Amino acid sequence: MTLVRVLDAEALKMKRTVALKLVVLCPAVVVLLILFVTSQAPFTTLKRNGGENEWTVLASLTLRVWATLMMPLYITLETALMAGLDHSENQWKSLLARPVPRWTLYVAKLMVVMAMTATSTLVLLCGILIDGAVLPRLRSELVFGFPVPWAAIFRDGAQVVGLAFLALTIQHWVSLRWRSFTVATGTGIVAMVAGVVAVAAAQQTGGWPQYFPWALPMLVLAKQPQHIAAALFVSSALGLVVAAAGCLDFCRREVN
Amino acid sequence: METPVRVHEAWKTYGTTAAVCGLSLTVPPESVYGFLGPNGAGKSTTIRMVLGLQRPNRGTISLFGRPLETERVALLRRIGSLVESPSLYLHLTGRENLEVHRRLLGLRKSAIDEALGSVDLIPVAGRLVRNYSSGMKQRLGLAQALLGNPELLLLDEPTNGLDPAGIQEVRTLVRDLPRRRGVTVFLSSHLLAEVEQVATHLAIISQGQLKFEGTREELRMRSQQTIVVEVDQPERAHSLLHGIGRTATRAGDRILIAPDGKCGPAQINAMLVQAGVAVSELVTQRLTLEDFFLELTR
Repeated sequence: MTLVRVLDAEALKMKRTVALKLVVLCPAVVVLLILFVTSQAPFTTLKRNGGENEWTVLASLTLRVWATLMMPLYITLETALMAGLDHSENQWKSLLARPVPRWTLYVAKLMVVMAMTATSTLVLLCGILIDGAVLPRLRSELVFGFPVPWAAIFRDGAQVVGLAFLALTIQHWVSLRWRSFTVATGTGIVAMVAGVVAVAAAQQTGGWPQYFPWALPMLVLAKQPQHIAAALFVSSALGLVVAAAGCLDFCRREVN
Repeated sequence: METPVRVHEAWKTYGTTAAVCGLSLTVPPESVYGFLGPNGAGKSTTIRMVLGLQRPNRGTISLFGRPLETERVALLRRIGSLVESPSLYLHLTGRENLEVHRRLLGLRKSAIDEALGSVDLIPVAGRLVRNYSSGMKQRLGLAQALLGNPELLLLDEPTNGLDPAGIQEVRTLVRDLPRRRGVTVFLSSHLLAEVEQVATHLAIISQGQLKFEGTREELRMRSQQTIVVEVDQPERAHSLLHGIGRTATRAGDRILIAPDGKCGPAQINAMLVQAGVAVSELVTQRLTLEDFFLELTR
């Protein structure tokens, strides 16, 4: 019950915030970017994949940009902005003096950021449908047949979100641990670049680089089911460990 | 009735710096407990320890007779606080700010109007807090502290940023809370005159150590009454007073005499006149709380 009350309060705090607007803005940017890229010759990639379903190709392309570039930035920004709500004006001295267990404040905020990431990915998937409807009008040679393979697209989207859990818990801890917005965003940006490098290294050699937390979501696009299952386990298990450690640290923290 | 706050031999250090050194306090029920000290004396650290925001290195803190360390959540339900400047979400309205805390406390909706009404903020409750004046923010912080009718209210510098009318309102509110709602108020301030006007009990802290704790009347008793005498023969008067064991200090034609509780101004006057010393002026000066405070914290 207490956790529900804290979640309720967290939801109200988001009102009129940039964090809330980003839930739609970030996936919208990716959708528009993909629409632009796929509508411009010679960058059109859809036709090159000949035998594959156009929807699957479009979804793969969109999720690739989302998982590689936008989502790591999005998670960085959202965790930093959500933590910033309570770092500003030193809200902690007021919140932590309320009769709620400290862990509920940490977990509620983590749940909100997770929900926001899932919602953004859902918006992104809806954007794929819009792109699929608009693209044939821009390039008549492109044909998006029906039915749309929603099951596969949603599975990929859900896997991307699941694989982002570890990076999200790390960012959440960093954002709450240090008041500085620069520390939180700096960590996220450096980690995102390292993730891209890790994926590049994994393509050459395979092995551990692909399990770098920020590289995990990109595994979905590798289309290797056995790796995805292992990566989902790593992301979930280590994510829970990091969340527990961060929560413990938060509960023991003193407020100045 | 349970003692709202009892701090026993509490220590708090930051590295090698001791902020609070073996502090013991007892806040009586339904009192306005003025907690005084110069900047850096350890007031805010003490308040943070009482709220569970910081842990003492040594010593114990109990609220309403229960240990804070093990029953923090249950005890905080009975406490409202305003520590230093109010913590407000500037992008929310005044009402929404209270709504965040109402949800955390699980109170009924009407609690918000009660709290807003007690600080006279209902007309501007729908405005964004970023457009509030500092006085309005301070009053909203007070409303936040009053939400849920706490039994103990911890206020750190509650009149900061308020205009004279606002200060008067807060003073009246603080003074009336014990009588009207049975609330105990723990009021920390460096505005000595402010605290003197509303506090029933006072504690003075300096360098993390308690220098005085007692009722306002006890403080007045402790405040020394200095007798100032202006005479025609100050040297002789000084010798005479020393002769009867009085602590006297010569300041030009004036002699400052510390009270001893036995021999008052009338007896001193009679003794000097009988000895042939003409007394042109004799006054009793009571040290103000500020003088006493400065004396203790020097």
